[in-house]
Amino acid sequence: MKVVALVGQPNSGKSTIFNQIAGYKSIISNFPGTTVEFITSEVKMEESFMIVDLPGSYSLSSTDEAESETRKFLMQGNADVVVNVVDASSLMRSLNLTIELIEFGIPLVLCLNMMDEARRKGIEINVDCLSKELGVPVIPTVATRGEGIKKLFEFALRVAEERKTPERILNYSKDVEKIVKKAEELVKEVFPDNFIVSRRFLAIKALEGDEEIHELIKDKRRLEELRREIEESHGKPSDVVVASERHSLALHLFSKCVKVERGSKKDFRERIDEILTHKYLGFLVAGLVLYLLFFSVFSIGGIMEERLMEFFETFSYEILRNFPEESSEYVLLNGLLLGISGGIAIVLPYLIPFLLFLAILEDVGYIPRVAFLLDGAFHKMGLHGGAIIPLVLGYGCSVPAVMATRTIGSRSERIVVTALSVMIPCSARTVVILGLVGHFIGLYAALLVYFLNLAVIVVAGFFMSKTVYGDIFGLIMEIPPLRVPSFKNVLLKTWLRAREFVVIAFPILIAGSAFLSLIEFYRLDGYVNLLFAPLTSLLGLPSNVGMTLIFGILRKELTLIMLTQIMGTYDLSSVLSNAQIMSFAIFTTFYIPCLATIGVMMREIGKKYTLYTILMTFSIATVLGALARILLSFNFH
Amino acid sequence: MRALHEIKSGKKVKILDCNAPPGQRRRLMNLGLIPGEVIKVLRSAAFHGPILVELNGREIALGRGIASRILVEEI
Repeated sequence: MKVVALVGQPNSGKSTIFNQIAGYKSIISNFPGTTVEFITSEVKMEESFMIVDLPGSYSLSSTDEAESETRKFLMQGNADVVVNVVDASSLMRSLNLTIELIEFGIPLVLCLNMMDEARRKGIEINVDCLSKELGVPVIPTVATRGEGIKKLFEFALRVAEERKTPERILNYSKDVEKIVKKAEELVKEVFPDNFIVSRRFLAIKALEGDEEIHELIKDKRRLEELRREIEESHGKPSDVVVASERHSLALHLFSKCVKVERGSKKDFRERIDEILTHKYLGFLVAGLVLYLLFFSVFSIGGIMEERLMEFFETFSYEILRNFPEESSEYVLLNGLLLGISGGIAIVLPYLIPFLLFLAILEDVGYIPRVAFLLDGAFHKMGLHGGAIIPLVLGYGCSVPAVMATRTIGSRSERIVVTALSVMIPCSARTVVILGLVGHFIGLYAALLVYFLNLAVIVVAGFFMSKTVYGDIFGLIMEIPPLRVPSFKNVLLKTWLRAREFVVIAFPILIAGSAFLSLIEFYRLDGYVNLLFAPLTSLLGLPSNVGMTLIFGILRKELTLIMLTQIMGTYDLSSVLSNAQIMSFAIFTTFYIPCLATIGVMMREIGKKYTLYTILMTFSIATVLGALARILLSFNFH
Repeated sequence: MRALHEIKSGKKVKILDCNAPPGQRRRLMNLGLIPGEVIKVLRSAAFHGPILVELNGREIALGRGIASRILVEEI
C-alpha cells in the first residue's frame, strides 16, 4: 500500500486536510527509524493508501524534535509521496519548506490550502506559473470545506505511482552554487548513489552546519573549508547565507506568480486580536474565557450526569432484581453495572464538553495568544511562554502535553515543563474535580482546587527552574491568525480524543469493576486497605478508599468511579464529609501521573527524571491532601 | 542600529543582523526573520513580556531576550 505523507508548517491546515480524508478512522502508528508515533489512517479511494500526518515543521533542519522526526521519517524512505500543505494566504513564508522538499528530491505535490483566505486578502496566485517554476504539481484547496481534496490525492497517487521527483533544480546564485557542487563531492563519498535523498540536499544541509549530516561527512576539514569560503565571501554565517539564498528564490517565485491586489486593510479580526493580546484587557479576556470554559463544562456535565444517572439506576435495578442478593452473580453484576454506568454517566458528561471547548479554543488560535500574554510572568518563574502550550494541553490530557514539550529547545527546561504539565489537572482529573467537588460541594470549591493547583505549579516551577538550568533565551513563536473553527474539525478532534479515553478506559474499567467485586465478595479488601492505611488515615479518608487509589494510577477518572462502587452509592456526600471529598480530590489531582503518561515521560525525559517527578507529585499530593483535611475539618465540624 | 526590543510599537524596521546562537538563529530564519526583511513592531505584553512583530502579514512573538539580540534600523 502506498504511503502519502502530509508535510507542512504549523497552522497550514495540514491536520484539517488529514481529518477531511481520514475522518474518524485514524489511528496512532509507529514507523521504522523514528522514535515518535504518527497519526495515520487507511483511506479508500480508487485504490487504498495510507496517509500519515507528520508533525508541523518550518523546515527540514533539525532545530527541534518535531522537525527532526519529520526529516527522519522521510529519510528512512517511509513515504512514497509527500503532500506539502502550505497556507496560500502566507505563501511567501511557506515556500521555504517547499524549496527544501524540492531539494530533498522526493516525489512531491504542492497543496495550496486556504485559497479562500488568500482571495480575501487580495492575493491572486497563478497556479500554473507556480507549478512550472517549481516543477511539481500544484493543487489549490479549501480544506475546511473539502474543496480540491479529492483531486489532491488523485495527483499524489499518480506522482507516487510514477515515482516522479521534482523536475527542476532551483539554482542558488552562482558563487554559492559552485560551493554546493564541491560539497556534493563530499556527500558522494559517504552516501550511496541510489540513496533516497538527493546529494544536493545533503550538501546544502552540510554547508548550513546541520549537525546530523556533519557527523556523517568523512572529510570534515574540507567541509569546514567550504563553509569558511561562503562565510568570507558573504560576510555572514553560512546558514544565514543559505537561508538568504532560499529566501531570494522564494521572492523570485512570489513576484513572478503572485499578484497582491490591495494592501491589507485592518479587518475585524485584527481588532479582536488587538483586544486578545492587549496589555491589560488581554488578561481580563483570558480570565473570562477560562471561567466560562469551566462554568459551561460544569453546567452541561451536571445536567447530563443527572439524566444518565437516573436512567442507569432504573436499568441496574431492573437487572439486579432477578438475582438473589449476596449471591456471587449479584455482587459481580452489581460491580460491573456500577463501573460501567460510572464510566458513561459520570465521566463522559464532563469529558466530552471539555474536549469540545478545548478543541474550539485550539482551532480559533487562542492558545498561542495566552502564551504571548503570560510569557513575561513565566519568565519570573524561570520558564518562557512557549511552556504555556504543553501546560494548556495538559488540561486535556497529559500525554500530548508531554509530547508537546518537544518544541522546547533546552533539555533542562523540557524536564521542568514536563514535570509541571503532568500536575495540571487533565480532563480525567477534571471529571474527578467537577464530578466530586463541584457536584457535591459546589462550583466555587471546584474552582478553588484549580487555583490551588495553579499556585502549586507556579511555586514548583519557580523552585525547579532555579535548581535545574541556567540560561533561557526566550520565546520565538508564530501567532497564527484567528480563524473561525471548522465544525467538522472540532467534532472530529473531540471524537478522536474521547475515543482514546473510551477504548483504553473501558476495558480497564470493566476488568477493574469485576476485580473489585470479587475482592469484596471473598472479603480480601481488608488486606489491600491495610496496606494503604497509613495514607488514608493521613488524608482522613475511610480505610476502604485505599483500593480506589490504585485504579487512579491506571486512569485518574477511575478513582471516582471505583469510589462510587466501593461506597455502594452515587450519593457520595452521604458517606463522605466535605473535608474528605476535598482531600480525596486534591490528592487525586496531584499524585502520580497515570500509566500512559508515565510511559510517555520515560520515553521523552528518561527514567531518572520520570521517577523524580513521580516522587515529587506523590509528596505534594500527600502533604496538600493532609493539609486540606486538617484545615477543612475545623470549618466543617 | 538598535536592538529590536528598544523599538516603539507601530514602527517599521529592517533587520540587519542577529547575534543569537545558531539554534535560535535557525528558528528565526525558519519564520522568515532574515537580515534584509522589514518587520513592524505591533505591541508588547505586560510584565516585561515578549513583543509582537508582523512580517508579511503574519504575527510572531519574540521574547525580550531574543529581541535584544536582533539588530535593526528604523525606516
